[in-house]
Amino acid sequence: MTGPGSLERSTAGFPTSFDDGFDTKLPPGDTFTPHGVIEMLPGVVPPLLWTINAPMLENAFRTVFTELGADPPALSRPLVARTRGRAALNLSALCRVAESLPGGDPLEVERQYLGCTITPGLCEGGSRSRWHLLAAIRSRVAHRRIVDEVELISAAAHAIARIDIDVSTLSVSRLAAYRQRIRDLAWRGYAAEVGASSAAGATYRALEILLERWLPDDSAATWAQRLTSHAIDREGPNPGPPPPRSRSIYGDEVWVGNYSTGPTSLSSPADDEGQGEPNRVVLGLLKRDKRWRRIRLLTGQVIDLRARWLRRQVDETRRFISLRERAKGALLVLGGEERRIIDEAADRLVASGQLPDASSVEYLSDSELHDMLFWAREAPEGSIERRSRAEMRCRQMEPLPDWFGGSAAGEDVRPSSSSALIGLGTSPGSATGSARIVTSPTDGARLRGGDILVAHSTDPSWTPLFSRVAGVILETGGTLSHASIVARDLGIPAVLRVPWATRLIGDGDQVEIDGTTGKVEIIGRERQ
Amino acid sequence: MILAVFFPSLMGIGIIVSGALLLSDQIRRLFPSSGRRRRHRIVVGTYGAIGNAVQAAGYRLDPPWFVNRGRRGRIAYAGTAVAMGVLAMVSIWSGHRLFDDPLGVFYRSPWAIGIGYGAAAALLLIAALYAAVAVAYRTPPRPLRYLIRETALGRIVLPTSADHDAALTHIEKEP
Repeated sequence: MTGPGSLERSTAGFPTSFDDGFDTKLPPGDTFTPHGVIEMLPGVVPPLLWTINAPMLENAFRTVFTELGADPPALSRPLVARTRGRAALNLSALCRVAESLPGGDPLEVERQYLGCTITPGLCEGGSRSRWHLLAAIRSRVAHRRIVDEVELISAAAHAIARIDIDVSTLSVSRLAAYRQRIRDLAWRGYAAEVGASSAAGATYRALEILLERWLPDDSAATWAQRLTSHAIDREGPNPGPPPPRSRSIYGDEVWVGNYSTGPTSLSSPADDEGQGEPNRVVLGLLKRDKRWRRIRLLTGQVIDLRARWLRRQVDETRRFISLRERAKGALLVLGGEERRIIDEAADRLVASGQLPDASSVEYLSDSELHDMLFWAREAPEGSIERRSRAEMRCRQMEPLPDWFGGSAAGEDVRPSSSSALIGLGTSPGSATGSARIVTSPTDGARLRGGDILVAHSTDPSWTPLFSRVAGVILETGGTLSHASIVARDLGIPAVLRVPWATRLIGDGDQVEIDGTTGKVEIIGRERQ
Repeated sequence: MILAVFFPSLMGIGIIVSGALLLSDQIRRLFPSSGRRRRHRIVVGTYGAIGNAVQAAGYRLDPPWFVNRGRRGRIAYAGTAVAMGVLAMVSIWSGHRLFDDPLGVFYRSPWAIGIGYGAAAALLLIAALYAAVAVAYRTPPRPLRYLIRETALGRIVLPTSADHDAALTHIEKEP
């Protein structure tokens, strides 16, 4: 049902020049995917948000690669690009970076960062994976730094939100200076988030490999999911009471609280069972392995080193998953602060007659906004109207396919309107209920207990919605996406990467989902 | 013959590794890391980041009260001074002993004496500082107060978890 896409064909007629601020020139031969960046830059990204966020994200990837000892690609080969107005990740460049890493394995790039392989054959050349002392030391050092950095950024972001500076009273120069400091924090926040994501991906994959090697059947993936549930730090990492609501950089009001103190705390029947149960079951399976018992005896292991290794791997994976969620939350808060500053700047520009209305600020680039505010310049002539029209055209286009570009031939594949859909099961279990198509967290009021949430993608601001539903279906994401992590914590099934789910499933349809096999079945249509 | 050596060696290594891990587990259980230094470092860094941003907006923030260091117990200073003094004496004595030992590799080597006295000097300096704080415990002179606040001579004023939670709420806006 999924397939490669040829953007040249599907974007026919769409202006690709950067003047309109919606498309990046894609390096020829490189393969891109929207997965891996869509949670950070969802949907059609207007010029202002793109020019603010894209350099930070690009820098974050490059910082993490450098810390791990890899060679980042040349600046002329961007890691983050935009097409049809939507953000995409350069998979080819990521594979080359992995090749340059001592002991790195390009085949692992997608498994670790995206949760599964979506472009078979892209990173060919066979596995180069081998243990490498230098890489191991470097990654250990990098992981320690990431832990500290995430905690610092998270605490700083929440403190900034609590201080709640009245930006309307600031002079232009103060407003610009304050904005720059918030931006500095966001740069660090992005690097911390990408670092925590890569650490979570690497440790999760290591856990999967251990389980694949040790468990007698092919249940490793499911056990890895169950063992890493309850990873989210419910007590909240941030000192002091969290701001219960804030705004995202997109302007929506979002929930940014700690998981235990938000409007709906993360508690479920799964909490009673806790993390201990899957641990006990897996350790029991390992203990029954006769061959290992003999090895243990021969090697004089008083304590079971394999069980100990597994426990450590599980702890480490859960820790990094929790850190990644924390970093995402911090970025939401910092984005909200940036939004307050942007709104204030827009109001002033409207008052001075430089902008026709406040919403037009979205069609300026970051530097244009700065110049207009600080140097009282005018917006480039006709640019706002042109970009507004381009955005409208982008919104009418289909979302990006799973992967595109490179030598891929083909086109966007629209799946047939079959009643059975297949995605990636990321939280085990099954559920049946009415499907609710939700487009934003503020749209969640329509959800009733027992509904199945169907959406394109989610981020931490969606968390309160998860405790109201019986299951989750998303068009994007992977094993370590926010939705998967929260669903596993709540013990509800989740099937992600179901292409066209929001269009093939109707609002109110009865659906049955299986988070273990990734199967979604529409068992009753609402409008028939 | 080879097997007779190989298997016992393998088992021996396994037993030693297992024992070491069991021991380290027990030690960790008895003396759990409080993570206070790390927490302190993060709070200081957080304060720096927020303070910078808020200052840019024309406000001023008071630092959280525990970002400074405070005095240790008087007995701790006195005990450390005595221990450092004893170590300095041991260092000098060891240096001389190595210098005079005709069978040792440092026999008549000036390095033995030099290192012994150098280490002793450093240890005595530390002992003197700790002794000075122990003597003038109630009202230490300004240089000592500075050292207590800025170096390991003082201990980090440890926040309880409640204090830690409240730390960054002590921030006040002062236009």
